[in-house]
Amino acid sequence: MTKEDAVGTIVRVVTLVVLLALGESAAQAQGSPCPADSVRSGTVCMDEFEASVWRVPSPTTTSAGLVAKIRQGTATAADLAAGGATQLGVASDDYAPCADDGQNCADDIYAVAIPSVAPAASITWFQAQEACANSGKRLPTNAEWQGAANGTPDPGPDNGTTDCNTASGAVPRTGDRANCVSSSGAFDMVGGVAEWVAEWVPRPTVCTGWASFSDDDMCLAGADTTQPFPAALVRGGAFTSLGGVKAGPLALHPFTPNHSSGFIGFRCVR
Amino acid sequence: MRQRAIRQVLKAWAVAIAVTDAAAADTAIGDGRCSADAVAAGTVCLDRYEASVWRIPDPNTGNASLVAKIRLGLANPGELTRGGATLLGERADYAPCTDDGRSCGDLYAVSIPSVSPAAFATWFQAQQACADAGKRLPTSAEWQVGANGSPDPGPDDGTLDCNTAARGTAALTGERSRCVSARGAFDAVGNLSEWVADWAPLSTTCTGWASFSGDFMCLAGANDSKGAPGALLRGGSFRDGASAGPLAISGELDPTRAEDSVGFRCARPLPEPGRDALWGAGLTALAILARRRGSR
Repeated sequence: MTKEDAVGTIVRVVTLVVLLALGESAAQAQGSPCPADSVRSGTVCMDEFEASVWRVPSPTTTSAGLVAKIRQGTATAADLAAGGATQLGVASDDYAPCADDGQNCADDIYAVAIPSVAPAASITWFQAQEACANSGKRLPTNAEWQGAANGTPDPGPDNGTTDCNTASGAVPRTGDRANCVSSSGAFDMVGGVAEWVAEWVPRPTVCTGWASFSDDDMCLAGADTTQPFPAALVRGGAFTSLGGVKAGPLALHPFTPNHSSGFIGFRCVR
Repeated sequence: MRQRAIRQVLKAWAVAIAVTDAAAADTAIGDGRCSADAVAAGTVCLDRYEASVWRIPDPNTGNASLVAKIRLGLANPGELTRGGATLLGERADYAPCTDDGRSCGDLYAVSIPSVSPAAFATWFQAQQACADAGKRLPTSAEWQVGANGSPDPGPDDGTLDCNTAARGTAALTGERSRCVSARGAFDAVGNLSEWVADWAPLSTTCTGWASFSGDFMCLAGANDSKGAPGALLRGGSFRDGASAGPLAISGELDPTRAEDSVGFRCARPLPEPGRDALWGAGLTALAILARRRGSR
């Protein structure tokens, strides 16, 4: 064996050891593990739960430690309460002074993915984007959302306890429907609140559905040429409007990005 | 934290080995920022070849190391065969992976030369095969950067030019040696038309690019009656002749469709400077030095 052959053999043995070490788990081989508040989906870490939104007092001074925990994905409900944070978007549009167009939101409202709280609703696309950004995240693209949602049960009846919350008519709580989880481990992608994703399109004009492919709603069809505002997409359907069997992992609706309602929320990605 | 740092070092070391091995084999290695299966294109590593799709038995146990190699961009056909992997996509044989992307956990997209690229995959199946391999579908914009510089087809000589007319079926990945982009991606033009991430209302017409290009441009109009959105396709296929090209785009196919002329390639984020890239660059330099010293 020549010296070069020996080096090559050593190199390959080291490679094998490295790969075996990396092969210990799927997450490890895909890069750094995701923060605790999220699940791995392809190349991104998708929030495990729909976002709750919190106003954190003095975020750059006395609560800087809490904000750091939010950004690291380790903040708990107890941390938020201890830091004097106020939960927003539970029963009304109470994000002011953070405005509908996203002004005055920097270092003010924070999106947090934790279980057993009300997900934020009554929020515009602009405010949702700001809440993600303050938490060191962003809104997922439609494709990223789709990848993370795959495997979530497509609703038949909602049994009110474990199935996706698509028909309760009651304000949901994050992660409390145990069977409503996707292949990648994200909760409530179907039902709960419908979720803003990043994309804008010309305002669609009609819901055509998915024909025989799915009974989920599909309203990305046609293109309005007269009305103001573009449309931003929301995905997954909701617990009331956009709910029932038309909710699901293929459900796709457009709303103008300045719109807010009690059944539209979001989740973030990083 | 310490385990995470060790993993980063090990990963960077593995990438360094792959790069030096590729250099030794006199293959194109780009600028070393991406694994050998991909080319650097802006902020992403775009797969060098159209995806082949493999079903891998026991991906979480017996073949965990093979899956790790796929995710690192290091797997080769011999290793796939030894792992009992089955090449899919020469026909619609992805089941139990469903057309809407459920039960697809054993499918892996792999970017390697000289194999049949995967056709007959719906957009959902393509997305899952990328995700299982630690990648994603590129956006149309990312695809464009990766494709720029590919020859815009005139005639197809059947051997070296982009596969746009002469053969009538898909060619093996990378076999058309002139069909390479400025950044080193093969077959972006012709062979299989490629799904990208973006959806839009289903297009209704092809307006072309006017005097700008002879490539087809079918992202125009918005259907208001058919039951699906459109997912974008890029590059054209073996059927498209001179209208294939780096500007070819269509929004006329919906993401539920599986076609013999439609495939995909994947992308992954380019490592950020200061993290994997710097580790990789440093260890690559060390490995090259060691190799040179060993050959003296």
